[in-house]
Amino acid sequence: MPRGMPHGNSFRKFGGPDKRLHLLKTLVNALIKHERLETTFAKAYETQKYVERLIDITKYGKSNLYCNDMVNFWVPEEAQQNKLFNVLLPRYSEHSRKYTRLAVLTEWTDKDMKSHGKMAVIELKGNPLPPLPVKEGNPHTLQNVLLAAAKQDWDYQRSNVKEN
Amino acid sequence: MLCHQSSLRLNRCIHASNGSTVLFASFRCFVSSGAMQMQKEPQANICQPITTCTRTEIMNFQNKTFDDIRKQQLTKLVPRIEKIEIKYKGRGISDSAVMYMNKHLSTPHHCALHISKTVADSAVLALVTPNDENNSLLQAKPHSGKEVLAKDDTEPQPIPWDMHRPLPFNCKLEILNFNMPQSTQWHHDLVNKIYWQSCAMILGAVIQEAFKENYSIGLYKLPHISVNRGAFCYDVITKESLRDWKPQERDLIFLTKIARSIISKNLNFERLEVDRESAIKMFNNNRFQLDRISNILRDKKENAKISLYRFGQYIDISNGPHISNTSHIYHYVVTAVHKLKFEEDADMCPWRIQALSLPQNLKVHHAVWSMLENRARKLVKENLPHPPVGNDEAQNYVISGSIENETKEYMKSTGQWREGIWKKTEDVLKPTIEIRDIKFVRKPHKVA
Repeated sequence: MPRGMPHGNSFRKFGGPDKRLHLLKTLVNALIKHERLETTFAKAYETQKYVERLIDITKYGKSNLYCNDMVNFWVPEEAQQNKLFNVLLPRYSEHSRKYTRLAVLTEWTDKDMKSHGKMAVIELKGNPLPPLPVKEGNPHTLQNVLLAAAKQDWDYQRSNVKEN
Repeated sequence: MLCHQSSLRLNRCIHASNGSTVLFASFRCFVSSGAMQMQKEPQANICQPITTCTRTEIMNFQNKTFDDIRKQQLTKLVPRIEKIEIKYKGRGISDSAVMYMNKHLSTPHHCALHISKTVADSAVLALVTPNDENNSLLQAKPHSGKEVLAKDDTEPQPIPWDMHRPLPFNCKLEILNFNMPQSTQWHHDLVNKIYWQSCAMILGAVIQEAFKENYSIGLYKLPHISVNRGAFCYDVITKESLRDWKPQERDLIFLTKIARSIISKNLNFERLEVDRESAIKMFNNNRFQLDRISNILRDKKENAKISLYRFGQYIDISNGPHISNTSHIYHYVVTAVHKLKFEEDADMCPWRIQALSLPQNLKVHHAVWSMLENRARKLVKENLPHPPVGNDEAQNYVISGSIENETKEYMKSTGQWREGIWKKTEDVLKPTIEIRDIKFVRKPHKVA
């Protein structure tokens, strides 16, 4: 496998480790503030990972030391911290893992604009903006019906085991 | 009443509770303990003279009668060719068309071929709404005391129709797939239910192929099972010889390989409507299938017909429509064999064989597939004919993660799975499932 692609996932540098962290910090903050961003595909892909992990960390609670440190680093502004804990946490309390949606835009066909590259839109789910025209998976096809039924089964078993 | 050659086959006769002998799957002469008056006549009048009594001979006989009946019906229905008008409703506005096809000869598959080959290949079911006023299939509903809504009266209900079944009237045609993003839940539910039934029918063919001639095994029931249960089933009855059979992983792997070899032949599902007498003639060797026929035709008139479906050489009794072709199936794994208790007769032992399958368009990642497979190992309790033996919990005799992984072929150079190519069966000519206490020895990971 080539050097920048371990396990098929691309390893992006973004101008160096310090610059990369600074870039991602701004992007994460911007996402929490505006709830929908339009950037290049690479930047959107990376922020998606960091934002989802951040929301998972906030689920531990404000009193957790680790949670506090992380949130203070990644979301230094007071206003955004409050938004994280008071608005986004209750919204995603029952969501399992996928809090964001990444939609790839069509590339520019014009010669002048060709240098822009692959653009994408990243948004937090459940936001109040008008919806993106994205094709979601059909819940009535056979494999989705089977998976939903299997999930129901496991949840039922888990609740039974907890009671016992 | 004993069989014609009873001296040779006495050891294989089972004595049913009421004293008459009942013979089992691979024998040509038989008597059922049911309420059929025909069987009181001597054997020579009923049975066709067949030289040997093997499974292949029976299948040849069934297929031959199937073909003969179909020819007869065609010559009756089509003395000369008449035309019908079919309005095809396409995916978009530009796709719709009006076609003039032949009555009793052209099928929805032919209509789809006129549009394009991809439509014909990916089509699974057809929805047909008949147009004509003077139509035998359109039955006028008697007016009940309820309110009359404008919708119910004017529009006739669409009928689900097989792709290879000829159309007898003017109609509107709509073709269904596995994944239709613009359609309602009702369409998807129909297609899923039909896929489940046709895969269950294929299980019956698998069972007939897998067992040696010694072990008499008969097809018992084809239950209707909803997709939510996670697996489809076929109920099967065996004699004493297989009563102590403890199915192991290698048996399940063997059954899946046989299923693959049947599916890979790309067989069409053909439908034929047959009257009672010929149905009895064809399924003369198995009393449980005769019971099935009598159950279906119990409350109906004497001229009522039964619908038989055939794919390849295997014929089965089934009511509803089926998918067009076995090439639609991608994943297919026989997941479990559960033992049931037959309280009336201690000799016979019913089993429930479960399997899981997914179509070509809806392939699934191997990790997700192994999760679904493990769920399909539990006993499906819907429409159980008899209570189960043993615990209700899953009997996990599978040591490896999923059976499908054991049947895959891997490339020598990269170790990756060759998509679409599955390992062939080792013994195709003499299939065996023997009763032995085998210690399961894990073979090294074979690379093609």
